[in-house]
Amino acid sequence: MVRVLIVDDSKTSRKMLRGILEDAGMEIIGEAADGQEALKLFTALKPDVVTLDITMPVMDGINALKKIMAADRTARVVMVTAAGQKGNVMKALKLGAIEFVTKPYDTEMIIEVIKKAMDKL
Amino acid sequence: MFINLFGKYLINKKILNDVQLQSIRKEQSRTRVKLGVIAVAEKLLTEEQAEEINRKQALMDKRFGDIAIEYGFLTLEDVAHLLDQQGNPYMQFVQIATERGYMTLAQIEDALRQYQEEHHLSEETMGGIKNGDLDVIIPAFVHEDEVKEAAGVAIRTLNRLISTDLWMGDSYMTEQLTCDRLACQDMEGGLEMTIGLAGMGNSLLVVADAYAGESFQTVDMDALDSVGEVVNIIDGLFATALSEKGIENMLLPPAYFDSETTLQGKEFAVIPLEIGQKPVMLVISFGSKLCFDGE
Repeated sequence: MVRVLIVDDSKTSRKMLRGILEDAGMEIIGEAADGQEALKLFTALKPDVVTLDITMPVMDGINALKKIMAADRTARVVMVTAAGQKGNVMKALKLGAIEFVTKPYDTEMIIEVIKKAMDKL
Repeated sequence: MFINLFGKYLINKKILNDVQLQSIRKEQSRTRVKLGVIAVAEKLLTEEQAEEINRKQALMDKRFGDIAIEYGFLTLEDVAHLLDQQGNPYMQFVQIATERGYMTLAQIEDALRQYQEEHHLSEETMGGIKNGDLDVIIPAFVHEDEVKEAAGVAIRTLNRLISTDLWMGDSYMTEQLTCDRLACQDMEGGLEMTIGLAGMGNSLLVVADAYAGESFQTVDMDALDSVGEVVNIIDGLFATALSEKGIENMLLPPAYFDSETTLQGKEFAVIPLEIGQKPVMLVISFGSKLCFDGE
């Protein structure tokens, strides 16, 4: 079973994503509302995949991604963002994110992207 | 949108009553069909192609038909045919109102002429209103050129994600607005701006419930989080539109206010909406960000 850490400052988005991924047979092992919390949970839980929002308070998704990749170069991170963040998405892909998806969630697309992330490595 | 715009006018003129308008709305809602659904049923698209267009629509502020043409799935004639199949809201209104004996065709046409005169609307704009064409309706009611595009993105997104039961009034500029609840988001970079959805009492529940797929009891911080995600999607789509013009903007985390709040700033636009018949204000500050109580 794929073990996923969901990182998003929106409780609504975390809940929606949890529902989609659990229905697809994945296990949500943790949720974080900002980059700092994400880093702690990533280190403690060692998820298979991290879904990482870009726009967050305290520490945004780009900075969290840098720190996650520094901690584990094999980390599988999927960026989740509203449209219109092309610059940040490009930056994230260069930093090692595997893929990105945009809100509102397309159920099939997000599952496909996480499966694709699992096929890497 | 046509039935809400014209229906509210008829109620104000005491030509229709609330019960009659509700009855027309209810009947009309049963007849709306999505373009993709018709296209698949008519074998013009496969289910996979319709899904692909839906996915692309989530990335860009474009209509289903425009994307289908752009990617070569449908021709302009195909889309025109599909649109015809969807039914013209004016004709739907005429049919329901006359069949139920609420108004005759002559009374409807007469009232529509008065509506056109009172709102100083051109024949072309009236044609768009009768078709329920948001691309015509929105610029007719949003009077400030600089906010027309952002308002268009916002209202089309609300129409797509929240409810097609929309009404909009004439926009106005102000330097101050007080509301009970607010979810808003700043953008900065090439262009500073704030976009928000404000409500009185629990009116924002209509947005929160529809987006989250839940029934919140009151507009608390959880409900506002759901509204904030809708604002986030609107801002993201508008940032995409700005990016196509070479303006790169960054979105900041949304902010929520669950008690009476006064928004202040340089002149900003307020667009009165009714979503599912609940009053909601779309707030757009273009060129500068808004400040709130205590800031």
